[in-house]
Parts: sequence; C-alpha cells; structure tokens
Amino acid sequence: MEKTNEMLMKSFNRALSELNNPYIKEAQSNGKKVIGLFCSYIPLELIAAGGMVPYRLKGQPGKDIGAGTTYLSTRLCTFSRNALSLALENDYSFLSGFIGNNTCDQIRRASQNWIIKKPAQFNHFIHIPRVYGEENVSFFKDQLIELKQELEEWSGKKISDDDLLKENLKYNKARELLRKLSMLRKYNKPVLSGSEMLTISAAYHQMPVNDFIPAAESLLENLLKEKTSDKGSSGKARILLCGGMIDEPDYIAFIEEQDIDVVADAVCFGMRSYRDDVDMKMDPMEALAERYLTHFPCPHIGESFSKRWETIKQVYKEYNADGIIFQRLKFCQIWGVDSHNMSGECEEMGIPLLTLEREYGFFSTGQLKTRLQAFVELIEERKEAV
Amino acid sequence: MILGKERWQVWEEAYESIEILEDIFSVASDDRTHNALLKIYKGYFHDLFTAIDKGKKIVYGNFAVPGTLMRGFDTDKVFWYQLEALSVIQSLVGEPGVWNSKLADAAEEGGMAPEICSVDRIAHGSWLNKVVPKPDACFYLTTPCDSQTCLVNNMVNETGKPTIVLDMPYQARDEDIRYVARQFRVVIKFLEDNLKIKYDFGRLKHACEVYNKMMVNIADWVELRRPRPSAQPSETVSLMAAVVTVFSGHQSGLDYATETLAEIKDFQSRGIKTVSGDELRAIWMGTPYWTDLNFYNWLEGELNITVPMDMFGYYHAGNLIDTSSEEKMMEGIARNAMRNFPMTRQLLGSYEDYLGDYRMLCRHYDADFAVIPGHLGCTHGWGISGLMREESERMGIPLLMFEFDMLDPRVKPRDDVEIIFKNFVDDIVLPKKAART
Repeated sequence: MEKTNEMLMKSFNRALSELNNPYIKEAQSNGKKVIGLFCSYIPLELIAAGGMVPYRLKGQPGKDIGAGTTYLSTRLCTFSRNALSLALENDYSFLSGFIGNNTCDQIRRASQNWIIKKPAQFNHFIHIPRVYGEENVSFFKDQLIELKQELEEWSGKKISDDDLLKENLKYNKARELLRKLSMLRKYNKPVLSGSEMLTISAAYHQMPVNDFIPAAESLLENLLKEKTSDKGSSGKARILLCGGMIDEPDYIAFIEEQDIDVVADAVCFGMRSYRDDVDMKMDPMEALAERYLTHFPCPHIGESFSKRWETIKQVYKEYNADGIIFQRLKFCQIWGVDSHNMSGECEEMGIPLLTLEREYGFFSTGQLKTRLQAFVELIEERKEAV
Repeated sequence: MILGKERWQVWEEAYESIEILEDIFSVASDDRTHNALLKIYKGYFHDLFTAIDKGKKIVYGNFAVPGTLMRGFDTDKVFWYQLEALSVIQSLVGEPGVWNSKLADAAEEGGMAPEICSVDRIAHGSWLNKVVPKPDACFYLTTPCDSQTCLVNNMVNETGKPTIVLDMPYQARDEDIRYVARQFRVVIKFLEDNLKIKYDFGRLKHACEVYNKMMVNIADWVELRRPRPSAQPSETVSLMAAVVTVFSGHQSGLDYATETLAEIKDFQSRGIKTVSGDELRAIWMGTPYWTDLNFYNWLEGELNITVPMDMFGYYHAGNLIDTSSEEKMMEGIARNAMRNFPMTRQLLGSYEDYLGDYRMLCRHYDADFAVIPGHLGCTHGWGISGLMREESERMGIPLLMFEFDMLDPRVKPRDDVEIIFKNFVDDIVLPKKAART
C-alpha cells in the first residue's frame, strides 16, 4: 500500500510524542546511551561518533514549572524553567549524559542547576565562544577535543577520525534532506506547512540520525511526486518566522490558521540548524568547530547581527516572503536586543515586521489572533499599494 | 573651565552636580572618600571634554574592558570611553530619576526589550540620543552577561565604526587566561591599524605598576573593613567598583584607593562608629544601590545595618600583574579581568565562584544576614537564586532577596524597599540574633 504524507509524518510526530520517545527507547534497548544537550552549537556528530545518541532537550508545553522556578526565579524564560522542571522531577531520567553550555545566561544557569541538582552519569559543560574569529574557532576546537576525551573516557570507546567522518557525512545528508523538504515551501502553494516543517526539524534533534534519514527520504519522495500537481497560490500571506528558540509546532499551526503560510524560518530548531554543512575536506574536528561556531548565528555571538540579517534577507527573498514575524520568549535577552536591530532594518527595507513576545508552551489565543489578523491586513494593503 | 564643544545638557548637569557636591564635601576635610571621588570624576570630565575639543581618537568599550590595557595608548591621543560611564555618573552624582530613566525609555522606544538590564538600555539610549561622543573605533568584551553581549550586537551594527569583540571564556584556567591574552594581542593590532597610533608597552608597564599599587591599597582596605564596629560608611563599599572599572591603571584610581584607605585608618584610630546602636552586618551579594546612595545612610541611621563588604567591592590583591615581560603583562591583565573583576568573576562562569565568594564574605565579615539585591535585568544573578537560598540555609544566614533596579528608581520606589528591609530585620534578623545570644 502506498504511504500517504500523513502516515509518513507519523514518524516525526512519534519523535515529539513524548520526551522518552519510541526511537529513544529502542536505541536504549539496543544498548545506546542518550546524551541530552540544550543548544544548536553542540556538534551532534561528535556524540554520534562515540556510539551515543544526541538528544536536543526540549520543554513540555503545559508542564508545571514550579520546580524550575524555585531555582531560576520568575525572571528567567519559561523554556529554561520548563526544561529544568522536567529534569528536577525525573522526566529526563532516561538520559545517561548531559552537556550544558553557555550560549545564553538562562541556559547556562539551567545547565548548572541541572548538573548540581540532578546530575546524569556523564556531565559536561562546554564554553561556546561569543565571537567567531580564527582564534575563537581554534579555542572552540580545543573545547570539543576536551569533550571528546571525556566522552571516550566515560564510554570506554575511542572516537576515531573515521567515526567522525562517517557521522559528519551522515548528518550532512540529514541536513540536505531537511533543506530539500524546506524548499517545498517555496511554491506559491506550499507543499509543506510551517508547522509540519518544524515538526520534522524538531524530530531531527530528538531521534537517532539513522532513523531520521530514511523517514525524511520517504516523505520527500512522496512530496516531490505531489508537487507536480501544485497549481495556483494558497492566497495566504507568506511569512518568514525568526527569533528565539521555538520547538512547538502548535504555535506555528495557530499562526497558519490566520491566513498565513509560514514558508521559511530562521530559528534554532529549524533552518538555523540545517542550513550549513560540515566541510568534508577538512580535518573532522576542525570542520566541526568551524561549522558549529560559524553557522547561521544566534545573537549570543557578539558581532553577529549583520551576518544573521544577510542570511535572513537571502532566505526571505528565496522563499518569496511577504513579511517577517519575529518571536521571542519573554526574558530572552539576546533576542530582546536583536529586535531593535531587526525593526530598524525592516523599516529601511519596507519589510512588514510583527514582533511577538511569548511564553513557552502556551499563548493567549485571542490577543495573538487579533495581532496576526492585523498583520495580514497590513501585508495585503502593502501588496495592493504596490 | 572650558567645557567640550558638544555641550550636552546631561553632562553639564552632572558636572554642575559635582561642583555643588565638591563645595559641600570640601567643608568636611575628613570625608576623604567623597572628596577623592569627586576629584577623580571631575578629572574624568576634563579629560572627556578635552578629548572632544582636541579631536583625540575616541575608543568605545563596555565596562568590563580592562582599563589598564587601554593605557598602553598615549592618553594625549586616545580617549577610552566606557559606554556605561554616563549612567553610573548620573547615578552617583546626578539625577538618576531624570536622565537615566529618559535614556532607558529612549532605548525601549527604539525597540529594545524592557527586561534588558537598565545599564545597557541607558547606554544604548545615550547613543540613540546622541549624548555621547562619537567613536573612532570600538573594542568590546563579551562579559559579564547576555545584556552586555547584545548591547555590543547593537553597537556594532549602529556605529558603523571599526569594531573588535573579544570572547571571555566560561572558566579561568591557565589555558583560558592565555586565550584571552592572545586575543588582547589581536585587539592591540586592530586598534593600532585603525587608529594609526602605536601601542606602547612602556606605557603599559607604568599602568600595570599603578594598577598594582591600587590593588595593594584595596587589599589593605578590604581587610580594614572587617573589624566591628564598622568605622567607614557602607556607601564606600558600593563606590569601589565605579572607580576600579573606569580608573584601573590610571593615577586617579590609585589616588582614590589611597584616600579611602587613609580614611578608614583615620576613622578607626579615632574610634568613629558608623552606627550608634547594636550593629547588624549585611553582606550585599549583587549590584549596588546606585540609584540612591543615601539608601545606605538610611540603613545605618534607621536600622543599624552596615554593609561591610559587597560583591563589587571585594578584590583579590593576590592577583598583581607581573610586569617582567609583555607576555606576562598580557596574561596578568587577562587574569585580573577574569578572576578579579566583579560580575565577571562571580557571574560569567560557574556557580562555584559565586557561592564560594558568598560563603567567604559572610564568614570573613561576620555577617548577621545577607542581601541579594535583585536587579531586574540580571538574569544570571536570578538564575542562581535557588542555590543561594540553599547555601544560606546551610550557613544559617538569613537571606533577603528583593526586586529593584540599580539605575532606574521607577522600578521599585525606595519607600517600598525600606519597608522590605524593616520587616525583614524585625521579623527575621533580630529574633534570630536574639535566639543565638
């Protein structure tokens, strides 16, 4: 029987169905250790090369965040509090290892509290430089070598260059598939919705790459057949979604219910994680340091706005977007400052921009709906004026 | 005197305040700390205005940029301007409720989120309102917090001037210190190329020596702050960071440290007591109450509370800079920037330094209770509040946390904070102390 897209999407939905999802359970039953990490700046390939499964930590919408708030206060973002609450209440006890990092103060503090209050068997904290010059890439490589050595010591498995090259290649393949899937949103009538795309790219972070690749291949194959029948336009406003961390497809689905197609994104669970590949010609560790530190940047890098903006503009054009929605979690400082730069640039270029502040995992639908509808009207007016 | 050609009202008002305060404090010749502070700030204004009048090259930096490093450039040719200088000066000698609030609002109107640290909002508002000198080049550090790093992102984008940013690592091991020292070299080369001015390691050596003398004085001073009863006002502790950040490696910094050390010795020899009643000592683990320095006087006068030491005032004089070679100086400055600079030391990296300093300060200064002043934008400070509470419980030290803003008085009016302190002392500190005795 021929599989439908809905059936094929099930693979990715399964990866997001619960924290300890069926793929993770299966990997663990095969003796694989699962390592939790918070950020798009930590090389998944390095962990996979050690025979482990990298697992990008997420929150759980609707989770009571009291436990995390006790340690982090109400002044930190609801994502960091949500994720820490999950750890403190043993929802992440299936993880064998944890790698904390300092891409932002909130994740740094959540990581530290995690390590001190609920240490895993393996715990490591990695410094992600906030500058991406030559000296910094080299220092980052040293940090990765240190992580590699600790992983080897803990797991008892040496990570060879060959192991790294294999995983680098595999992850490049996965990223290529994600890019191809994302490109299906370029059509006037997008073949994939924004919420579906986020589901797929979030799943990429939460399942073994060996499971992800065939699932993504099957879906892509099916969708490519379907796109030949793509005609006309959806007639909806085409939006690029950017800003801070978002792993909730439901939020995008709600946006898309308001006459909007989210045709592109620049978020860390989305395009920022798969736009750039690892250079296969370089020394594998050097290539990882280079790729992960200099990829489509988040504003924790202290001089990154121009690079980020250039890439966003390019994507905006490639995907023929009509406007930008900039979303960020309340108390997210790094994106809170970036909104200033975004608004200036968008104004100068005449790009309609809607800035949304939100909480992790829930939102006030009435207010959001009104703002989105007003934004769509603005876009339509602009189009008519042109 | 001749003020700068660009006569911004905000600076004029601050300068006038200094002159008025100078008249007031000069009458009290034994108030050496205040007189020294006013003198060095007046000198700072002269330097700033002269820099503008004479067309010196102006280099922007954020507050954690080590001043000592910048002294390797000829001060007759280069003026190093810290983005936060105006907001701090406003708080200490001006009208924070007027100008700082206005400038913070200007940044918000420009799209900056309101929960960003007010220090950075005010700094950005100063730029947007064009009340700061225009830079020729910029050198920023990614410390101590997200707000600072992101202010850098804004400034890089907006000034359009040659800019270099230096990464501060999470840890301060030897290899991390060497990493920062290597980056200093890159920064020096970058500034030399862009300013067309040669860096002079002879000047740097002199600055390091001045820094070391300042640190020796500060080390003596932090020890003399220990004995009960406290002889020197609490406010003095909160001023030290404002001096060290701006005047490291500068004669003014040394002059200030010399004077405040002399003052405490003098007060102790004369048996002066800061409070008349039974002294309650509080360790202040966070940003000072700069928005209203009189608050410290109120604590002393009304509640017999002294602050013998705070997180900003405590410096480790063990980290003197070895001046025997260029490399040693670079590493010494890097070590001080990482291990000996408030906020970077305690808040940039692991929680261990913060908790370790907290334990040490409570013990060392015989604290009756501790205060975490919850500056609203201080995410990394708030993110450790749970661990601090647990540490306090272990030590048996009552801990007061309250929300406020160190530079913007609108966030939490002083009246409200006074009530919080009064209730805490009456309900927790005094009964606990009575039970112990």
